[in-house]
Amino acid sequence: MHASAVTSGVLAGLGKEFLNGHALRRMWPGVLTEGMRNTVLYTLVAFTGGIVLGLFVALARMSRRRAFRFPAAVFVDVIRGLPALLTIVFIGYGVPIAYKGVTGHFWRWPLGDFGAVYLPGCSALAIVGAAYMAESIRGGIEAVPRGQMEAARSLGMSHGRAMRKVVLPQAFRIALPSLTNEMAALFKDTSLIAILGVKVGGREILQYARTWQNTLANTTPLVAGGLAYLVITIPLLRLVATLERRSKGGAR
Amino acid sequence: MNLHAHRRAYAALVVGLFALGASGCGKSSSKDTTPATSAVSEVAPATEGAATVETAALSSEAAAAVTEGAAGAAGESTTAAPADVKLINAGKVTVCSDIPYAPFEYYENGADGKVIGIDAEIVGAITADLGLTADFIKTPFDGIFAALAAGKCDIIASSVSITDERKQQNDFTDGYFKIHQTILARTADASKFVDLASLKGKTVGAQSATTGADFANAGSAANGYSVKEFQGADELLTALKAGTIDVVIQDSPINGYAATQSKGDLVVTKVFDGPTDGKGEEYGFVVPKANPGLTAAMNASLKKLQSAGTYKTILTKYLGTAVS
Repeated sequence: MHASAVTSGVLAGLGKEFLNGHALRRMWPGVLTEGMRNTVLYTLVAFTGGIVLGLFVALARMSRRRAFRFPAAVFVDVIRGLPALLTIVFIGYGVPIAYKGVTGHFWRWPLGDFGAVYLPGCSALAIVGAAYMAESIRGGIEAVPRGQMEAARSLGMSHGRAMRKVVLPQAFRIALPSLTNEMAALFKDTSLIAILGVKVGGREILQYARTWQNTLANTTPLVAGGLAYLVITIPLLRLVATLERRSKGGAR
Repeated sequence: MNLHAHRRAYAALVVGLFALGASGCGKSSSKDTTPATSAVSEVAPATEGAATVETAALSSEAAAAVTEGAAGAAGESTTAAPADVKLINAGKVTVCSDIPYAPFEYYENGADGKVIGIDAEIVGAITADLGLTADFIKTPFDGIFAALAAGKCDIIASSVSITDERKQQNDFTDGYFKIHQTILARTADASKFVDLASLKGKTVGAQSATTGADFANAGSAANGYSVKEFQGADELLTALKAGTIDVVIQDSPINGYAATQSKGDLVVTKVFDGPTDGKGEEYGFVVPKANPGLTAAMNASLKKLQSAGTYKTILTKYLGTAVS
């Protein structure tokens, strides 16, 4: 940084360190074609897995049977009470190490390379997401007026059918803001799964940006990576706000 | 809107989300997996290529017990991998490596290229000799032994010093490179930080879970410096340049290479004899104890490379003529 004039020096430093054209060119278009692509991919895998598992956990938590209710409650409390990073390392390394004796010498994930390198981390994120989304879904189900279920039953629907056709669609609608919120959280948390290892071509935004940051010893890649996150997370969070406002305004 | 319209809209939304996720899944599996067969099933052996290796990998799934048998003998003369070499993915040795750690493993062309370096080339030559390919997974060093134990990779090739502690859990190939611990400082501090005693009150950077960190921590109390551990070796250099640490203690070839690459900004100010016994350390490739066939095959190939001169060519390429 030049020190002739303090202001211009500071500005020049800002430009060189945080908005360095050379650094930007080096990481373009990789920050999108590799970083963004993989972040979106891991988020979708984790979110899809999480919402399916979360739905079952939510139904189990509301079950009449203690045998279902209790483990579901323990799952939700334990996972929500743990750092996501611990869960990721536990699923990614702990489980395979513990069970390799059972499944053979090597414990393996399906789907080849993707499975071997990223599925453990995505699965762990899905489990983390499931614990939070189970609570959102349960809240949604409980918020559906009792009369809906009673009316559906009186029309001759079975309990399961009434749940599927009448209650759950309304419950998901009510839970939509917090599910969207969880999607934004998972989008950011994909940055954690790099602890299990990555390959060139499979890095998410933060890992991609950090590799360049250290290669160039310049902060610009982090700024570019940060912008890549915000391009997705800010619209998602705005959407949450809009959805919340709408649901407050009444159902119809 | 009536209830029915709502129901359909949200059912469609949920279905849409699933479809989105599922399509993401499908795309990834077809794009990220190189051999199509490995995506289909973990058990079904591919019909083309190194059939013996695949059969071995298959049988290893069933039989936990390992037969040592012909490991040594088979490795000597053949160019194909012996039958008792077990691999996660047929036809390739999956390698855990903490990249970048120049000049042993780093990316060509900054951060986007293929993996190059001394380890990458030696492993490449060994696997080529065995009729296999090598596939590198960038793995943080402080989790790299867990990754090997978890079956994420077949071997670790990551400038790993052979230590008694590590040997309790893993097998090592024969050593392939001798190193020492060193101090790397900014050139302005070249005459200030020349041994551990001169670091009193200063902050020493080291990489977590490395012998460099063990060495730095062992001398910390006696010499009055504090040790700041980093997950990646690249972060160490960034921190040294940024001034958040005063020196880096790590392996001689890595610090030496960093000094050369820094164009005069950084300099190696001290080369230590050895951590405790004055003998220095030696790098080896790490293989699970359950896979002695692979260790034997790699050792045989390594010997061949050393006698054929390939080994020396690789070292010269990365270290110049000064290092033999």
